[in-house]
Amino acid sequence: MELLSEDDLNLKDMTPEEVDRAWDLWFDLAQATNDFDPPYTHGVFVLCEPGKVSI
Amino acid sequence: MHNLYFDLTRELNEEGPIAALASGQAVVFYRVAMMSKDGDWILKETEEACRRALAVLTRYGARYRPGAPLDLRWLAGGWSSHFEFFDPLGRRIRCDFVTRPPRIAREEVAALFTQPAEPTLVVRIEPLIRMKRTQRAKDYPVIGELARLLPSEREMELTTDPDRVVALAPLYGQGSKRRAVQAALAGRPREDVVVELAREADRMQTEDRLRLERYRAAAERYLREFQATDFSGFLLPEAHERLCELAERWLPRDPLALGGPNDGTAE
Repeated sequence: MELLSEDDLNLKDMTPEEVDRAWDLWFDLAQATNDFDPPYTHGVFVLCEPGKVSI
Repeated sequence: MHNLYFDLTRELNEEGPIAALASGQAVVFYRVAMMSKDGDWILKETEEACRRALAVLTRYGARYRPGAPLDLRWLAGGWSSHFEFFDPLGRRIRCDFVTRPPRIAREEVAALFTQPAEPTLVVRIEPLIRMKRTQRAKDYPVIGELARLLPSEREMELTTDPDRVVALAPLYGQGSKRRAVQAALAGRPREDVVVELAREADRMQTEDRLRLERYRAAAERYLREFQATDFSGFLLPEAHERLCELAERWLPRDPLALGGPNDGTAE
């Protein structure tokens, strides 16, 4: 059993340029969900829910 | 366009190693998955490293998000600092820093910054796997894939994939203390291996949640004050100074120092 999708696993076979292009496309698409992202994905504040303020 | 998080890693380390790329972007670096929109670094615990990281972030026009100041007074207590800016295409870039990552011994962190120079400094697989033992269920399949990049003996000890445990236990399992491995080695049904792995993951998730709960409780008042304070109009260096003043009043430096569940560095 392989745990991730075939698309993910194929990353290993790509050239560095292809990985860069794949990242760029993925990152572009991922912007669409910015407003719905949790405030934190790393660090020690992940259980906190502050507003979306930056200073 | 390059992955900006990789570019930032190189930029942070231009004058010597101070920042190792971790978590989701490290998973991208190892070509396991495209799985994170944010960047997460382990920063060397020195004032110089904080100063250089702030300088790089200032050049990009970054702003603080609610979080601890990038300052050793709080980073050494396990707190994390959070920043955000937008790239030339208007895409959101989030940058998070810790100097005391959970479940990584301090000597291991220090060794990150003494290893031979690499173009992109990235946390190695085994500590990355330990960092991924979070309260989030979605990190555990990724651990299984990361473990595949290790030698088989180590994969057996770290994988979350029951089929890999079943396959590797007869070859390398003698003497292993891992219950899932012992179940496979004893020839018990596959279901028993699955159950042992699930229990193990549940213990890890619970430990991480307990640790984070202590930080959440300790940060409550500080975050309220953060929200109520108007920092607009200040560039990052000035905002940093004001945030340090706020943290001195409201953010305990080390919420784990009073006892309770461990800080996650004990292996």
